[in-house]
Amino acid sequence: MLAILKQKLLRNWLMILGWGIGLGVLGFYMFDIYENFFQQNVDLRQLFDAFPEGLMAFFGGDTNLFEPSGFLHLEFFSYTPLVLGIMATSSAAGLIAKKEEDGTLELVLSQPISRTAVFWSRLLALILSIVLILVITWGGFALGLESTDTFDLGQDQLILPFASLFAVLMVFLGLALLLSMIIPNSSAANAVAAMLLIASYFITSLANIDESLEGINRFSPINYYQGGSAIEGLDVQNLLILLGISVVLILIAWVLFIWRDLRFGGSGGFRIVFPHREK
Amino acid sequence: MEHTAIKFDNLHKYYGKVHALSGLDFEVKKGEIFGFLGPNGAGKTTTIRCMLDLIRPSKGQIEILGMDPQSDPQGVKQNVGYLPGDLNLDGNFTARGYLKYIRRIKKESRSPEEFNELARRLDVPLDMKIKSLSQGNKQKVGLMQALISKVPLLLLDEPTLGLDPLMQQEVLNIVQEEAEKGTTVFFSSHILSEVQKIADRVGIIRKGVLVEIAETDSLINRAITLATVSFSEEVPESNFVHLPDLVILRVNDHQKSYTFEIQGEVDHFIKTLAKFPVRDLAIHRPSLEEVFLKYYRGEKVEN
Repeated sequence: MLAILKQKLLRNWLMILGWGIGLGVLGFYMFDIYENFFQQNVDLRQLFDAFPEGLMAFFGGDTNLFEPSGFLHLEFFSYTPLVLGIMATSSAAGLIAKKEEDGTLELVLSQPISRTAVFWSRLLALILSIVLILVITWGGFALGLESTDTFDLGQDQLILPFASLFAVLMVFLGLALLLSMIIPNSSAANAVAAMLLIASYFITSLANIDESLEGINRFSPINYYQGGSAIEGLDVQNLLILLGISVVLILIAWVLFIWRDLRFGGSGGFRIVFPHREK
Repeated sequence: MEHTAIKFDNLHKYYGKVHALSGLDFEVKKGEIFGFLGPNGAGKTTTIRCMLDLIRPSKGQIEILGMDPQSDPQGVKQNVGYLPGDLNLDGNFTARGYLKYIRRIKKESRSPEEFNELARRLDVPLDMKIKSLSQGNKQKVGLMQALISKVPLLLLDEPTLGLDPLMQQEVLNIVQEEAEKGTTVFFSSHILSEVQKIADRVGIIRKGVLVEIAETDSLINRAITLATVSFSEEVPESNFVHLPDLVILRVNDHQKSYTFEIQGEVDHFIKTLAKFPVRDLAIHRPSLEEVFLKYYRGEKVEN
């Protein structure tokens, strides 16, 4: 199990550094942007006041852009579930299914290792990769915070929106993984998961300006994502709802993987088939 | 002591409505080399995959070295070296890195000396990236991973696929050496001459049904033999018509030349011929390939 975990993590290093450093640099300069923003406070207030209420609501509801939490939400945490979510769905949809499609999983599973071990070690490596991306990104923010006096924030407070971000990413990771166990094509599973992510994002954003969407919004995972406002206090209940959903999705995906036949090209494996066993 | 390495008991496998395996029911003895033959899509690979719990039987049981692959897949896989017919290796590894990775998963492997000797015999380019290897060299890496630990059972699906004739011979030598040490070998191949060369027994599968299982020699001996005989003088047909398992196919040259079809042993036929002045005799023994082609074409099954 450790061999697979280590190998998968090593394979992900470019993804971890690429995403982590990219977002970390963005985080580092975020505070410079905020200082400029702050210095032009009066002019910008007039500018934002002139924006349609609906537009502002779409990008963060009634958050105060001149507070650190509101600013960080608008500038970073409002769209990161979408950006990192696409990365998470793509990685999760291919985590097992792509290995089946390219045929390499057959040899791995012919070794004395269980499907459970393969599933969890590869999944754990992906989750660790996402955690590392978030940690590196947080590091960029933390360094940026050190270089400014304008923000009245502790570094520990900065961790909280990342915790909320992690939880919502886990939901879409779990969803993509589950879909890849059902839909016999990893690309199609990824496309469906990404579509649901985008739909969830828009439903929650539009629900800020259209009350009629409130009903469906309750089923949107992004609705339970706090983003920048977590800086002022983490909503533990929402966090647990997101983590709970992701655990359920992942567990179903795991059960399906250990229950079904491995898929092989040419053997009728790449289709939705529920095997039956006659007694 | 258990003498059976592999046991299939009424094994069925459905892919949706396709009945891929229809009641396989046979055994492979410990220490034997068993050739599993059949045309593409006959069910050879499906059978092997069921043995490793990669796919699950729809009905029936399999027993590998006394273990059920479904209830104890790790136990089975710990004791099996497997080479898939459709070999797909992770191309980002070097051959050495990949084998090291498999050794780490397998936890038990040959000594470094044995490993190096095997690599030398198979001439594996260990330090090249797998994705840059030729099909033949990838096959060698596949063979190396199957043989990476000393196991009591080898499942080899087309082990010599893509190899040059010299390397094919080397692989057959290795397989025979493993069998001599007591390893059971279950292998499929389309190169029937090599099956004939090394297999103790063969099983022929067609459309998911095992249509024949026999010792290789006996299968060939049991098959139809063609004999062409020329006599120095006329020999009436009546001398042969009463012989069992003999069919006169052609009579030429005023009953001086005959072509016979003999089913089974030729002993009785030769003794009959000895009574007449034979000028020339040509006996054509079918190769395993010819025997197999009859099953391919379904002649034997329909009969």
